[in-house]
Amino acid sequence: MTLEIERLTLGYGRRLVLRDVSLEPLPGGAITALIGPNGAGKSTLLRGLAGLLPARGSVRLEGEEMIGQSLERRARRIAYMPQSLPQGVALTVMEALVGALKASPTEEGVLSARAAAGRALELLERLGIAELALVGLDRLSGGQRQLAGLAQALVRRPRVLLLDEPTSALDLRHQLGVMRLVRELTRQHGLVTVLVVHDLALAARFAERVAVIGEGRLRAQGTPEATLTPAMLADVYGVSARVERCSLGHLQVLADAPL
Amino acid sequence: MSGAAATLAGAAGYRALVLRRAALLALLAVLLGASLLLDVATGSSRLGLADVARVLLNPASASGPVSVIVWDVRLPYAVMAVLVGAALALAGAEMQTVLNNPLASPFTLGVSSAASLGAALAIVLGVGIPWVPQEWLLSGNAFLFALASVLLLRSLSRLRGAGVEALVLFGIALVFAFNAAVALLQFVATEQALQQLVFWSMGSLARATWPKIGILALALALAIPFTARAAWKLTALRLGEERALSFGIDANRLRDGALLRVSLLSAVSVAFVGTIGFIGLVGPHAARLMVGEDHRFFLPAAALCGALLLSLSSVASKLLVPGLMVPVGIVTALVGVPVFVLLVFTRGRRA
Repeated sequence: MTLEIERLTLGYGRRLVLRDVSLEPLPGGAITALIGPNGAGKSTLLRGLAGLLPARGSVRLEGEEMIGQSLERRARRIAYMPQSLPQGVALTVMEALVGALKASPTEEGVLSARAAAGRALELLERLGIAELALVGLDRLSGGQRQLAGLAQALVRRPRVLLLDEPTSALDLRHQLGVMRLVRELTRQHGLVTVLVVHDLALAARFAERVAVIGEGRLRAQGTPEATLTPAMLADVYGVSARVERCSLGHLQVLADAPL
Repeated sequence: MSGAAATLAGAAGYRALVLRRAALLALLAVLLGASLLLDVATGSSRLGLADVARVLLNPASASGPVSVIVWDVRLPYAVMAVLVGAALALAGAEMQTVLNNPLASPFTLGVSSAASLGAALAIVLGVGIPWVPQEWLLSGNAFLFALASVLLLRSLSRLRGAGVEALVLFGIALVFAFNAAVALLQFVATEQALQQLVFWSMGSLARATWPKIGILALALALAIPFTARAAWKLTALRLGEERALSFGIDANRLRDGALLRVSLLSAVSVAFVGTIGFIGLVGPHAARLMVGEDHRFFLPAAALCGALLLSLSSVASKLLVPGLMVPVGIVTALVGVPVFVLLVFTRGRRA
């Protein structure tokens, strides 16, 4: 499973948000973190990969061109998690998962409602939230909502997992929990995982690859060590910062002052 | 709770939840049946429930007058109440989901106002569709305008890809535009025409006839299979448009299909019985409080709630002023609001 992105240009109508992005092929079993300042186009790139925006260029999954494919066809292999779940929805966690599974055929075809429910429960157990199965989405705490949203993306057993800020609403413990889980699933199933994060230390720790987006263009890509440098942080984020290793050897970004 | 135990409990719990929802649907259906019987039994000459049941089950055995009252007078009204209630609430439910707006209903988005305009044109100016016989002129006009209003709404929203919010705003704007046009017609109308128009817009089941019932039943029979097929997609749409798209749902197509069904159901209903608000708004909300938004249950529950509500309103419309049948459009809100408030509060206590 490899995802190749070449000369991808995305935008809303005539307003282009992302121009001419080419990434080194993204291998299965590895996490790629998209980082960059607010409004740089990270979420747009993710939405473009999910097929939610008109796109030019090329996005190939195992050599198969995805641009121009129908949503239904894409949805068999690609899952996308937006930043938020809507409020005021009278569905339980389980009902939402079964709905997500039954919305269109997955790679394995059409599942019966019973099989879908079985698979949804299995996943909730894996995520450690089986006890939330029958709780309404509106009753969940911020962190639980994020987990429920993640489950809705995972339940279709995608090959490509696109996550928009999966840890933004979570406390420290749950941030680590979710990132570990995503890494585990990515490695176990050989997923191509692309996620947007703001926490650079989290990106450095869990992602094999980092792509830096700034002002609608790709500014840098490579390993965390190669991309997270004071020069890049000054250039793209406009801050003077140090990048140091903590006592455990993890990269830490220490922002000192805006430039 | 260990993982495996939680999963087992979850599986049993989910099955119980599904069963409970199915049981609620069955209960609603039973209540609806009872309400239908009651509706037939109620009226200026009171009939026993047993008599009514006997006449309905065995038409040949019944004596002349009772049979006539039941089959020719009361049953058409009662059945019309059930079908119109179901059609309006189903339309409202689909509308609320695809427009992602709990205030959406055929009434709030201009369908009823458009129908009124069509009716007003027929009553005041005698304008109608060519080749439509005189007795169908009013209904035909109302239907055409209601249908056209939804299609207009749809095409307006397509201009420059306006969003769902814009569609709701357009609908509300249409209400004002149609109401103004109706007011203008009322202003120039003769006294007799004005009276007829005002009475029409109150909404009444007294216009029910078997052919009209047949047409409405046909519209429901046409719409329901497509609605049922879309149920899973509609459920997924509740999780947000972007998420729904990422599940492979063509949201625009889903919305178009739903609006087409909504226009058919609400246009036929409004054309035959006039303006009956409230049902299309509150039927879905009552259903949501009872069974949630898994559309496998939500849509039938909305239809049943709407039917039950209008059927009970029909009973009340005959009891409110002895010897007089108050137009049911007036009664729906009077009956519906207390029922709805009760539902909201009992739900609140359980939560």
